[in-house]
Amino acid sequence: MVEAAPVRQQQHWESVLAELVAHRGDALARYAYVLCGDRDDAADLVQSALVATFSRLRNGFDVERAEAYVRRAIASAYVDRGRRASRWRATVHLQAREELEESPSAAIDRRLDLRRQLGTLSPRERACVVLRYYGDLKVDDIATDLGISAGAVKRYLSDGLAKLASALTDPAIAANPRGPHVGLR
Amino acid sequence: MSGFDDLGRALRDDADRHAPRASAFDVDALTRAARARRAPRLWGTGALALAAVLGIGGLALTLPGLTPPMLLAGGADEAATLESADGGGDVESDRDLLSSPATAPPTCGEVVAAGEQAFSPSGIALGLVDVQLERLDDTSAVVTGSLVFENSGELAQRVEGQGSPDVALVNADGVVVATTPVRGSLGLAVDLPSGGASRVPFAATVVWCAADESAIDDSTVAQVESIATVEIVSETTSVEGVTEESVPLVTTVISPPAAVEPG
Repeated sequence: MVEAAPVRQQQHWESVLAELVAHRGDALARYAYVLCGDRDDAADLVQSALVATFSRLRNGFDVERAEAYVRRAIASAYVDRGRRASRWRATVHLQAREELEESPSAAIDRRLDLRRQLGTLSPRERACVVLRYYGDLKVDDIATDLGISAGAVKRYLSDGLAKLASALTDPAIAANPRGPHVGLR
Repeated sequence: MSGFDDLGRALRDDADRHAPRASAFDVDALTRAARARRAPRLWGTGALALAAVLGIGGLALTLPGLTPPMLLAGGADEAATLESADGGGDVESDRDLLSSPATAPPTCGEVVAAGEQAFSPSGIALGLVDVQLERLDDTSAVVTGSLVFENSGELAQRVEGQGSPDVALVNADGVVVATTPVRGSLGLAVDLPSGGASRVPFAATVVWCAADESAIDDSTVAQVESIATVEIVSETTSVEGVTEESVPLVTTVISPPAAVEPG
């Protein structure tokens, strides 16, 4: 006897996934982008986080809670990827010459190019800075999201901001610290 | 520094201009990928098949002798931070940020998805063998078995942990019909040379969710499939004490059918 294939019904988690991508997909993509600073990597982070989350998420979650888990997965994946890459970054300067030479306007560029300065932060420093200033999260919430202590978050924030500040300490900025110098290009 | 007052706005502006759009995401493909990882293919080869779901929080993989005492998470919701020996806090253990929904103890009536076997980046594979179900009465049973850790990596590793096994029985539809009312304990300290393996026995008592509806007798449990979900926080530390990798991992293992011990 040949049995007819059962008609597959969409499960709850599948509808949540579809709704999440439809309504909050752009926000998740922006969140991933400010973390990693790369368009392609951001898309990869979001999609990987969605699959990872919804492959484990049980039924009963609404879109809001699912988004929270996806955001945490994105941050976690970003930090982990960064850590794996950190060893290469630590030695790459010994193996290759800088391809770009500084232009006469490099000093100005440094002041304005906050994105480039963000790229100098460690993954955890950057994650803390982004979660604090982009996500408007409190220190305790950042600690929860990243799975580290509140003290560590404070330290990463302090170190990260100090690095960013060092790029903005020339006289022009000192004279106008609230001016249009903090911008991304 | 006042210049950072605009940092959030600058980040948002940059994201608005350069971030990818959600239209680039293929929802159908994402759904298929997630569905595949939920791997229901091994669920219930028969209508009476049961599965055990075992959750253990916070195991840690370390290189022996190179790390300070590991932090071993006692529960899924606890923060896990590993400070360096001098208190500097440079060595920290990330927790799996998905661990709360993934490894929280399953509850009665919940539908539990199974996943395919995974390996830690350090080369540690987890297996679950010799699972047996011994029915105590119409409302409870004892589940016993062994976790098997195999090190396929090139380096010797150490698995340390104080887990709290959470065992649940689910029916062929993946619905939880029995859970562990009281968390047990599982102390682990296993040294794994490259290519080595080790077994860690466990036992847990489960109680049927609704005895009048779900209680099983000996004849109903003809075949048992067991599924273990184990959270592993992998921490590999160099000789200098600098963390090179800390990759949280949730591993789901599906064991072959095991024998059933009548009560």
